[in-house]
Amino acid sequence: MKKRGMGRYIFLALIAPGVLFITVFMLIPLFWVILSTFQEGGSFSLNNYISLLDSVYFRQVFGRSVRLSLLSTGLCALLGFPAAYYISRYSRHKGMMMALAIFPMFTSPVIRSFSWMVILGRKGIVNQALVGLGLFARPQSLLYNEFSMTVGFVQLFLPQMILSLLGVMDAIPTDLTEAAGSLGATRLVAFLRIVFPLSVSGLVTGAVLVFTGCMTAYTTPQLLGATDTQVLSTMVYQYAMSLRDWAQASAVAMVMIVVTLAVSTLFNRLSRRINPLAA
Amino acid sequence: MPLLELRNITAGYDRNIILRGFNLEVEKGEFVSLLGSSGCGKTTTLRLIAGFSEPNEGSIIFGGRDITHVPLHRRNFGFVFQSYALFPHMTVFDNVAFGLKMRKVPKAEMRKRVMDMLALVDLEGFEDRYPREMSGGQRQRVALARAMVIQPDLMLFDEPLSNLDAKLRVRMRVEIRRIQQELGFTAIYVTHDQEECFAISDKVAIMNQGVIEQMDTPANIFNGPKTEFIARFVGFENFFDLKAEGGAWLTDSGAPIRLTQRTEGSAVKACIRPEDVLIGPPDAGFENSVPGEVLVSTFLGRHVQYNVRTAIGEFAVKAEQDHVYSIGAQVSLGLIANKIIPIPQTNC
Amino acid sequence: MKKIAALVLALILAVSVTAAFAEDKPYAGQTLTISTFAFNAELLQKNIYEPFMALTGCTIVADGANNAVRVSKIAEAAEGEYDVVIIGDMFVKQLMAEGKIDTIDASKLTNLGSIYENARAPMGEGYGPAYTFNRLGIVYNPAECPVEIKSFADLWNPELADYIAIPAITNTSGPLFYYGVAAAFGLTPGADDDAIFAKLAELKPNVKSNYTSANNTITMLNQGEICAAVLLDYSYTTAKSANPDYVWVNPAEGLYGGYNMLNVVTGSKNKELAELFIDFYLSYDVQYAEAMDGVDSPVRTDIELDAEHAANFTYGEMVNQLILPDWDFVTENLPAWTERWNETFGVK
Repeated sequence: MKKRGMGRYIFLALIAPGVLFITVFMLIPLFWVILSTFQEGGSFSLNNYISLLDSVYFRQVFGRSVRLSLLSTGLCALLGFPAAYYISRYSRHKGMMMALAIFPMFTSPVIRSFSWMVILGRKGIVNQALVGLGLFARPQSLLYNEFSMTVGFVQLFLPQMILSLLGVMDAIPTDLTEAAGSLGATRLVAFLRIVFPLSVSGLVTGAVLVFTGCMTAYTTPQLLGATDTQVLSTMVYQYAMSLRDWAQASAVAMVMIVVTLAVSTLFNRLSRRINPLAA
Repeated sequence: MPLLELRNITAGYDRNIILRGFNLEVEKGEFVSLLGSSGCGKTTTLRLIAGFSEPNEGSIIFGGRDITHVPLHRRNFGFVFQSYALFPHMTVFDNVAFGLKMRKVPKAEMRKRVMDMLALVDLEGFEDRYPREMSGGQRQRVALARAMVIQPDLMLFDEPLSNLDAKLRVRMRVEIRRIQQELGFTAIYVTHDQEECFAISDKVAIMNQGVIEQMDTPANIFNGPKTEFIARFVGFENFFDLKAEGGAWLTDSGAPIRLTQRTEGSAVKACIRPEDVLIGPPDAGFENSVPGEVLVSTFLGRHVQYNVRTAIGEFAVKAEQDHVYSIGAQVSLGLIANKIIPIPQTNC
Repeated sequence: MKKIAALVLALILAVSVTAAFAEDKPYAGQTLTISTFAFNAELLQKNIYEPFMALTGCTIVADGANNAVRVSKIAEAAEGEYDVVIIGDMFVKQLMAEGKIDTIDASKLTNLGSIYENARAPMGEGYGPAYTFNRLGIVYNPAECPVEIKSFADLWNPELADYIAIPAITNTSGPLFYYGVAAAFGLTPGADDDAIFAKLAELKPNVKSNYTSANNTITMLNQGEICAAVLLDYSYTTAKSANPDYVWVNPAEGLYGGYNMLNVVTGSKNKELAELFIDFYLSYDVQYAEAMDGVDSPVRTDIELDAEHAANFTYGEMVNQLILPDWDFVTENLPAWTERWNETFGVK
């Protein structure tokens, strides 16, 4: 009996520092910030939020953030699935393939933005090809707009999606797709009916990571976007750093948190439809 | 004409060639087993037939057609995996119906065929269960049902009973054989369990290092193994050399042995089962008598197992327990003439 | 023994000599923390920090970032965390509003008499001096630009569609540009805000980028994304090093500009050292070196620069032509202007 009691105390003692740290440095400040957004001049007020929702500018920025994040998540899923499937099933040099896949995560934002300038710029490679092949008369505006931002997001977060999917796909036994094939399923059908449903939990994890990443990314919209393609994160920066309006900045941040949580929950619900066994 | 022919197959990858110049013929309606220990190439052969891999050289002929390059999903062969490979996210019904869905069978007909098949494998009432809610034996039957419901031209089994306990294995192998005979399909069955395959097969192909050493009915193999490997595989434990001299067969110590089996060559390795060796006192007067000394005596209940040292090697003997000889006892062994199987030295 | 003795003696000598030298330095052991620009860090280190450290024996810790971020940092910092702040005039005003700017004893600044009169105490008596001027102009690439640009008004030329970059209102040069736009059309900031924003709305089709980073804008210029950008004079030096053909324009509407200033932060524990540093910044050697390296235009009246080095500095006669906005007015209106700016440029 004594031993059991001791063990419990030791356990609590070990986790106490961690819990304390998170409480003091994350939970309490977060709670404080949440409270502060509901105050104006010391008393309870919804003005911070009302003024946001009133602003046409904010509504556009909000819509854009959500729209681009969802779009990027969708693109990452579309591109990530075949890539992860290939690496999981067919690749001889799995380690090297994985390294290539996650490589973008290690480049700095400034270098990435410059590289995109070289590729998508007015005089960039893509435009040179488009005009050179006679597809367009003049160079197209491929940069500093929602297109380039989406491209930047996808490049940045595709590795997350691939890694999430890879983890789940590796756990799917190969004989399942073989069984499907022996029963008459083409590779595509086997993928859609067997691999895809069983990968859904990885897809959800990846989607949540990508969506959250896109919603909160700052440097990519900053360097690849324009003033008329602002997103919530650049808006928070403007309020906080340029105007030092902490109340408004916090309100925008709260909106970001709520949206991210809502969308993540939605993804989880959807996944359960596709695969009843999904966690 | 055989239903399935494998001609001159070479298969393997990189430096690992598993089959070389491999040939196999299976008749329609036959239940053929590929028997051997790990690495002999039986699974490789089965997977080639199924279409999971392609041979480097050679051809596969089915029903007169060359199907070597026909893709997996068009072969219409049922495959039962060792691990069952049930789709975890689908119910039993959906699992079994999968192949029918691929063939775009109309709903009503599909339902009937699935339910009939479930009844056949004794899983009525399980349609809405998920694989994870079922026992190993039940899952095995789902796998079986799923493969058979598509009415395949050929059924392929890859050690389907290995993961079950002994009692269940015996029951299930009887079931499989019964259903095969009832529905009349051709089956190729891979296993490493000799008793299992002998119990249910029409023909057995014993494989060793990528080659079929003997393919025959179980009885013929059991009674007439063609190589020492096979002999050991089917239970012959005692081997001794015989040389032909002057019209008679002599052991290494010069004793004459009478054989009833005809054989070729002038030197053979003879083998005999422990059950077919008589044991008695030195003056018993057995035919094909070999004197010896008991080294080990083990009481097994109904039988007694002896290891007896003789001039021509150590013999394992299994005798009834009417008289038990103790260690060190001098005995004579009698090799029953028509139970001695000679194997030509060229085959050893 | 003798060798060891000699070694020990030499060591003692060396230590005492260094100690003696160190003790000569009046501020040995003290640390001066300055908040400054991130731009040209290595040249600042070479021309200012190292000589000062050698002179006084103190250690300089430089914290560099963009103006707006630094204002936040200093406003939120504890007393004594920063000693000196080197920042643009608009931001000095913001810090003064927060009570973060300390007074300076002008008698301690021996170099004060040698700098332009309007640079001595721009924020009022008792506050810090300016050490450099800058003015807003236009940099364009004559090879790419379809038209010649001589004024802010020229930027409205429809041939420049999607081809220019202007500073965001929240950028350092943003308000300067706002005044320039007002001047281009005979309007007054504040009273004519509606009209000014109407004009900016007209400019929108030409604006490819509303920049917050001058460096990225120069890259865009180099890549041919834009052909012209509204920039502060010191950016021209960087731009020219990439392409010497770029042209600098002093806009016809006038030279809107500002000062960068040196001030002591309230609560500094090293006020004496800080004032010494500020004086040092205005010394001939430092100002000359900075001018020669193209970092900052000099604010001393006794510095003569040749045409090449004077080329884009706000220097000589131009100093007197500088039009400085009322920074109090700007600070007051900035939130409203920012919102309207967002609505003009931020909304599709």
